[in-house]
Parts: sequence; C-alpha cells; structure tokens
Amino acid sequence: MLETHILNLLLLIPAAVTVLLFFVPSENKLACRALSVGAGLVTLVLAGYLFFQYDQDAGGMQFLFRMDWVPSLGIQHQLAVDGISVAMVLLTAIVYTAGALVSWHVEKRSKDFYILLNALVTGVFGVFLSMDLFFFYFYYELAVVPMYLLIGYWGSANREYATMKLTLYLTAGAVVALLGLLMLYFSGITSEPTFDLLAIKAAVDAGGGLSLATQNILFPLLLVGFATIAPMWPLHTWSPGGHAAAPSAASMMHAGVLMKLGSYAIIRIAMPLLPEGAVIWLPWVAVLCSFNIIYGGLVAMNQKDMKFVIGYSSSSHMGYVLLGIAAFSDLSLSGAVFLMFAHGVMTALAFSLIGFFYEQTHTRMLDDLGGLMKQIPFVGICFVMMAMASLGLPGFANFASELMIIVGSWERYPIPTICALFGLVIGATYLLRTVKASFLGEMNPKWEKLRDAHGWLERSPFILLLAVLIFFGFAPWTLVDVISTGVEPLVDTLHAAEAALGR
Amino acid sequence: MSAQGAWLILFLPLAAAVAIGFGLHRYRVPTLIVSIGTVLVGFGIAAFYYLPVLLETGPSFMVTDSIRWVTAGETSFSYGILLDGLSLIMLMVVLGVGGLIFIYSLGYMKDDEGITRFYGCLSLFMFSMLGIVLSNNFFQIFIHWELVGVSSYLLIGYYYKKPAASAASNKAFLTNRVGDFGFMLGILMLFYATGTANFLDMATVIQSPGYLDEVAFQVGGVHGWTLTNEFFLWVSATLTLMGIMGKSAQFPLHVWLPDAMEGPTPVSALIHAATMVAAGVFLLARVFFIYLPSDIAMSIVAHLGMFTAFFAATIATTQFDIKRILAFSTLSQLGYMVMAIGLGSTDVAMYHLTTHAFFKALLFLGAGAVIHAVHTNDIRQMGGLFSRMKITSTLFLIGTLALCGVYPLSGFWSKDGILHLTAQPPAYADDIFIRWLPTITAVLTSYYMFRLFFLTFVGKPRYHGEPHEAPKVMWMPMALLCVMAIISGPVLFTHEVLESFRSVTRPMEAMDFHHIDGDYHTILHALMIFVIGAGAAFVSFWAGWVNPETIKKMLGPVHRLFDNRWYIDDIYAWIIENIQQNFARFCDGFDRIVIIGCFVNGSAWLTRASGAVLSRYQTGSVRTYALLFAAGVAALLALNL
Repeated sequence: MLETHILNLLLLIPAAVTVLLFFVPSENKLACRALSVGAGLVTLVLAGYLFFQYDQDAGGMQFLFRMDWVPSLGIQHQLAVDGISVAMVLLTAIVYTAGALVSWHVEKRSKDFYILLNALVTGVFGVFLSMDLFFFYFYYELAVVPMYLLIGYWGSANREYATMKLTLYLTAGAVVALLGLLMLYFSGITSEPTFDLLAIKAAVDAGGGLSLATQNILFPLLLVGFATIAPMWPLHTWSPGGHAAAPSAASMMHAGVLMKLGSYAIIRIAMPLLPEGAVIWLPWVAVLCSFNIIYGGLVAMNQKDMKFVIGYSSSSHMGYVLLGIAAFSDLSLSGAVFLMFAHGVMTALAFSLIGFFYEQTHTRMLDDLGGLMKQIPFVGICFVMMAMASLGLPGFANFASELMIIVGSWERYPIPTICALFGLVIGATYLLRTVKASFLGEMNPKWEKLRDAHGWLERSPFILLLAVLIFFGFAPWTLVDVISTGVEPLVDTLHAAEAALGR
Repeated sequence: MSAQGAWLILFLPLAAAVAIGFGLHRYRVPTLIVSIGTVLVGFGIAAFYYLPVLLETGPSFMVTDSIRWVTAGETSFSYGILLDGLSLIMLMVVLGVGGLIFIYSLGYMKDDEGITRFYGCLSLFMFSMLGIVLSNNFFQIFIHWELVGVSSYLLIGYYYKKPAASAASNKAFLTNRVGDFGFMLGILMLFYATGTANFLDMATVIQSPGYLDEVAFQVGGVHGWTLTNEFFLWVSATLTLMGIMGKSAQFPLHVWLPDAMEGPTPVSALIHAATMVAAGVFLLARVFFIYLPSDIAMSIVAHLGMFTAFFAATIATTQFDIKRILAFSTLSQLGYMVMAIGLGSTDVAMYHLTTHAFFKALLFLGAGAVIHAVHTNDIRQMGGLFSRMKITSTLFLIGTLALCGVYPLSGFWSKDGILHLTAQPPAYADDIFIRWLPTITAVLTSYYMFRLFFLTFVGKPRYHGEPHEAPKVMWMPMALLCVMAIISGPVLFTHEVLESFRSVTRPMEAMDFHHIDGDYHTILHALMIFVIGAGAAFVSFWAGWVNPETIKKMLGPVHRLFDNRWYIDDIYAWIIENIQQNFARFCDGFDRIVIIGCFVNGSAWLTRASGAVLSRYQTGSVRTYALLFAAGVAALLALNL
C-alpha cells in the first residue's frame, strides 16, 4: 500500500494542508504552524523512507504510479522516481520542514503565509515526482505563483520590483521552455502525441530520436528556458534581488529548491531526450558557467547587504552545477546533482540564519553589523559553519560534491575547471569577509538586546540543516550511490550520442 | 600489525572535538581531561607501533587500510591509512610535542573563560593534522590540508573580539587557499597522468620503466608539440609545491605566518612552529618520487627553500615582537628543510624537522612564559629577566643554542647536515647562492636569536610590574622539550634509526643519508658561524660597544627593506586594493548598469514604451483604421509587383 502510494502521499500531504488551512480560523496561529510543521515532518519521514527503500542495484524508475487523465491528449498523472529525483525529494522535504519551523515567528497573516508556502511545496514536489511533461509544467507554475505573493506581501525592501522581476523572468523562461516542450510533443517521436516522459524516453532510446537539425533548434530552446531558472549567466539577475527581498522561508524554498528546478529539468528532460543536441550545445554551457563562477563570486565580493552576498554566491555555486552537467562524466554529473542537494541545504541554512537576526536588527548591511558572536553565539557558530560549508570545507557535503565536479570535469573542460578551482579562492574571500564583518570584532553597543536562539524549537531548523550537511559530508557515498544509479544511464546515452556524432 | 590502532589514533581527537562541541564544553574539567587524554592515548598507541620498528623491523614496516569514500562510475575516492616509517616519526613528533603543549596550555590559558573552546579547537586541529600524517592518497591529504587550515583559522582568531586577530585568521586562510588552488591543480594533473591518487600506486606507476618518456599529449603531428609524461610530472610537481608554499609558509606565500602570532602562544608553538607548518616538508618527503625524476622541479624546490631561509632571517634581524622574531625564524628553518629536500635528501630534512619541532616549541613556550610574566610581546620592554625567571631563561638559552647549531645540541647535527649538503650541491643546483647563502643565513640566525636573548633576559630591566617565574605546569613541559632538544642528536637518531623512518614510497635511487660526523672540522665550522653571529649580537646588545642605531643608519635602505619585510605585504595589499577590489567593483557595476540597467530594465522600459506608442493607434476612429488599411494594401501590392 505504502509502496504504491508513497509518491502520491508526498504530493498530497502539502496539497491537503494547503486546502485544510483555508478552514482553520486565522486567529488560531498555533494550528496553522503546527499543521505545516507536522506535514513537513511527515514528508521528511516519507522522503527518508523513499531514500532507504530505493533499490540501488535495480536502479531506474521506481515506485511508478500511473493514472490516465486526458487520454485523448496523452496527458496522465504519472509519478516515479529515479536516483536523481530521490535526492531532490529528500532535499525538498528537508528544506520544507526547516522552512515551516523557521516561519513559526511570522505574525503577519500567518495563515495565508502558510497556505502559500504549502502550495509552493506542492508544486516543487510535483516537479520532482511527475513524469509527465504537461504536469511538469503545471507544477512548475504552481510553485512560481505563490513565490510572487510571498515576496510581494511578506518581503522586505524593494519587494515590488524584486517580485515582478522574479516572476517575469521565471515565467519568460518557462514560456521559452514550453515552446520547446510543445515542439517535443508534436515532433512525432511517439506514434501518438503524448506528454508521457517515460514513453518519449523509451522511444528515443529505441533509436527513434529526433533528427540532428531539430535537436539543434530544440535543445537551445529548452536550455535557455530552464537555464533562466538555474540561473545561468547572464540570466541570473532575478535571483539575488529575489532572495534578498523574500521572507526567510521563501528565500529558503527559493534558493534551496526552486533554483534547482532549472538544472533538474535540464538533466531530466533536455539531456536524455535530445542527446545529440546536448553534446553540441553543452560546451557553451561550460563557457557561460565559468562566468557564473568567477563573475558571481566577484560581484558577491562587492556587496554590502548580506543577503545579496549569499544571493550572488548562489549564482556562483550554480555555476559548479552547470559545469558538472556540461562535462557529463559519471563523476561530474553525480557531483552536480549532489551539489544541488548540498547547496540547497546550505543556502537554506544561510537564509534562515540571516532571517533570524534580521527580524531583530532590521538591517543586513555588513557595515552596521559586527561583533554579533558575543551576543548570539549559537547563531554565530551556525553561521560560521554555514560559511565554511559554502566555501567548500571538507567535512561538509558541499566539498565532496565540488570535488567530484572538479575532478570529473577536468578532462573535458580544463579551463572552466581551473576557473572553478579559482572560484573556491574567491568564495573563501567573500565568505570570510562576511563572517568577519558581521560576527567578529567589536560589537556595536546597539545590538546588546539581541536574543540568541533558545530552546529546541528555535534551534531545530538550524541543527537539522547542519546535521544533514555534516552527515553527507562525512559519508557522501550514502547519497552518491543512489544518485549515480540515475546518472549512469544518462551518461551512457550521451556518450553514445557523442560517438554517433563522431566527436 | 593491524590498522585499528592507527584508526583509533586518528579518530580519537575528532571524537573529543565533537563531544566538546556538543555540550561537553559547559564542563571545564571533563573537557580538559577528554581533550588531553585523547592525545596521550594516541601517543601511547603510536609508541606501541614505534618501539618494534625502532628495535627490530626497520625500514620495511608498513600498515595500510582503506575505505571507499565516494564512487561514481569508474572513479572512486578512498579514505585510508598509510602508516610507515615516515608517518611514524611524524606521529611521534605531532603527538609528543602536541601532548606537552596541551599540558602547558593548562597553565597558560588557566584564566581564560573560553578555555573549553580552545581545547575543542585544539582537538579538531589534532584530528586534521593526524589525517595528513596518516593519509594514503592525495585527495585525502587535500581534505586534511584544508581541515588544518580551518583549525588554524579558528585558533588564530581565538581572540575574535580583537580586530587584528580576525584579520590575521582571514589572511592565513586565504593565503592557504591560494596555495591550495595550485595544489589541487597539481593533484588533478597527477591523477590523470597516472590514473591513481594513492601514493603507493602512483609511485609504482611513475617508477615503472619507460613511463617518463611516454608521450602524454601531442598536437599537430610529428612536427607539432609532443609532451611526455616527464613534462607533466614537473609541471604538476611545481603546482603541488604551491600547496606546500602555503602550508609551510614558503616565499611568496609566507605572509600569513608572522601575522598568525595573534593567536595564543601555545597555538604558535604547536601549530605555527612544530607541526602544521612542517606538513609541507612532510608532504615533500612523502611524494618525493614526483620531484626526483625532474631536475627542474628539484632545482625549484632547492632555490625556493634557500631563498626563504635567507629572506626570513634578514627580516628577523629587525623585528621587536618576540613571537614574530620566532615566527620569521620558523620560516627560515622551514626554508632549510625544503632546500634539503631540493638538494636530494629527505632524511636530513625530516631530521631537522624533528629536532626543530623540539627546540622551536621550547622557544615558543619560553616566549609564552615571558609574555605571561610581563604582559607584552615587545622585547624593548623586557630586559634583565634572567634574575626573575631563572628556569625559563636557562631553558630558553638552551633552545637558542640548539637553534644556532652549537655542538653537541640537536640543532648542530641536523642543521649542519643541511649545510653539508650545500657544500657539495648536485649539478642542477650548483650555484653560488646555494653554496653560500645558507651559511650566511646560519650566521644571521645566531645574530637575531642572541639579539632576542640579550634584549629579553639580560641588561637593564625595562619591564613594568613584577614578573615571576612560570608555574610548574608550564615549565615542566618545557623542561621535557629541552631534554629532547639536547639529546635528539646522535643519541636518539643514529644512522639506522633515521633510515627506518623513511617513506615507503621513497624512490630507490634517492640519495642516501650521510650522518655528519662530529669531527673537528665540522664542529669548528659550526662554532665559527655561531661566534660571528652571536658575537655581533653581543657587542651591540649586551656589551654596548657598538650602537645598533649607527649600524641601522649605515645600512640605510637595506635596513629599511628588511624592516618592512621586503615590502611583500605592501605589494599584496596594493594588489588586493587596486586589482582584486577593482575587478569586483567592475563586475558589480557591470551587473547593475549593463545587465540590470540596460537589458533587464531596458526591456521592461521597451515593453512599456511600445505599449504606449501602440496604444496611440487605438484611436477608435474608423477613418484612421481605413487609412492604415489602405496603406498596408498599397505596400503589399507594391512589394508583389
């Protein structure tokens, strides 16, 4: 029973909470909070169960659930997971739980806040679980719309501009991708037009792929569409501003999970269905992602607002993910998926910590902060650990994944790999600078009233996220073994395409 | 013997650090017991491995073990143990000196409220350092390379409320990151050139016959570029050297070490004198097989060490901060070790590493006792402390004599072993600098050390307050180190002993070690060096026959160069402020103005503007529409005709 419906449950639980919350009186904030945190914990347990039950030896798509929806158009409700989606589902559940916990203190219309948060999570789970192109797009849009409202209503400075820009960008990217998806739908890979991703994939693998000319047009369309969300340079500017303006939980979901949808879609749709197009176009990604890494890092170095530092650092880190994708070796691509996971957790931690003291200081400007370690040591130590994870210190999952990407990409793209290595130096520069400016040195007396995180409830999101980072930092094989079952068939497909192209 | 003991040595300190981090830090005594206990237990286990080697097994001793860390496709990273003679001697140094310094800190940090945090960081450092010593592959050593970096960052910045301390810790971390950039590149190239990261396998591949001449890379056919493995090997060896430059503070990545003296003095003794900074030398000895085949790489290593030794010694002659003088002296001695490896002898480098760990730790702990007593680092505000602190002064004097290489203290044997090498350098490094600068450096060493000694312990008292002798918990470890500094010459390290502490990866054709004899000639030579250096310090800083100020004036620009540390820090500051920051500003500006300003907001503006323009044509007037329609028809007709 659980085996067949576990994916449905993962999707249904946040959806059900969204609906349920409408009927909870808005004065009853405790119920809203407890419901969401409870839902988060249940999905966390389910995702953990999925992670342990996923059969690594068998690999491939598992826990398949299929139900026709509009058969005449080839639309079906079809859920399944492979190694890659298992990691992403786990990430979503972790960030969801932590985000629900962090939002415990949202007082302003907390019911509506939680409704939107749960709707967003439903969308994200849907994207990672759905193996149908129609629903894939539907869930993606389901995730974007609540983000618009969350930033627009609960956000901080400059929120109208940020939320407009973010939504327009994400929608524009999605529309470009939609164009590609529709072309794929009508391309006649399958005898009947269908949105069934697995059926299309099977047809492609059986030798019925699109012609080279079509792939050459289709792949860049999908790439640009999805890479906007990734975000790839120079399409990145929606993200730092969006991060900065969003409330904590929204930043966490956004940087932690939503940004990963782009690279996930490249891996899930564009690369397996258009392998020749991928082989031809991915070198361009390798060039652009070097810009992500170096340029993003340098811009982060010059930021004065802490959330912008983390925002630009995210765009720098996504460059590593894209590099790993572009190099498509077993090692680099597994590393890329692993980094999507690790970065998601790390950045969620960063935004939750910043949110914690921003609520009290009402400033994130590095010049105004300083010496906070003395006043809020728990948050301070967590922040230092977050910075260390982010700058790629061994012992945290980020290092293991970045090492995999760097080693795995060296043979194919030595120069972007050197950029990636140099990016680690830049990363250390801006992160240590941020730590020093905000937490070390003499404390400004006006922060004497700051309150540290007390008690299990307040500390639990930080502890959860840190524990995940450290666990997978010490024992990366536990996750990578699952991820690589999903990655290896894809790499084989691409290598076959490369051989066919005579490269 | 099994590897379980080695795993235990490695992970006990980590367990201690984790326990302290997760709540034990609230209880002072248990923290101290756990932290110090794990080091002592580790030392006991290491001794258990060590004694049989010393007594019987000899050079063939080796214990290995490995676990899979992460695998994807064909590539796999492992995490393991390689315990051979080389790692054993290093284990004994790290755990032995470390244990003494852990105990000394009980006295030094007694009144500090963050003492449990201090011991937590020390335990973390221990784990990281032991990982370097026990690593069996390059990726693992890189992991621990970074981990010692962060432990050092945490300990330098221990007094985090002091801006200078947090600046110094950032500087240390970032300088090392720059070094690690090259290090990782070197590792990548080696990994792809040999197909393995494991030290033993890599040594086998590189030493297999014909490997060096194999063509690794070819462009443009027969007349194009042909690169052999030998070329890749020396390039990657040189890149790997960057990591060593960072950690062992070799020129030009040395800048962090003097600043690192902002940390508590026991940290300076343990990490920035005896163990962590020696990691680079250890690594050179471990992977000597990638350097030996190439004369270019060996020559680079030799000259790098030679220059660092001289350069740092010149700076040490002008400083007034007691810890910085010792820091520059450490730089200089590390330079000697690196040079020794470049000249082909890993044995003598490891020998000097060991003796140096004893007497330099002793000197730092002595300096700590002095600082503890007079509450300043400035030797101009000391003087005449001998009568107040007899034990410390005597121990410090013995350490100084050992460092200066006076017969029969340990420094004589190891340092003159190195000077011996420079007298007959191999052909690739046979030049006037290698022949003479190390000897001049030795003279400078005696000079600056006795300048320090005279200014601190003799002459007119210039201190404030009532300095008193250090407590027993502080001077006892110093006394033990002092004993080691005296006897770790030929008594402890005979020829046979040194040979059993070689790396198993050491190439067969590497130079054998000639233990210098304590003959007349060598003793006299060493004594002469000592007398010139110490004599110069004597006439200017104790006897007062020569006024140091006049010499300063006489030397003019040379003195200014030394005093300003050859302006290296200023050059870096300039580069950071003018190049790095401008780059960052440029990118930030580009982002704001070009990408956001022009493209993003520009397209938004364009959308609005075109909306506004087009809406004008929505006049609602039928005549306008008819006119436009007619114009369109006309245009179409014109095009078709």
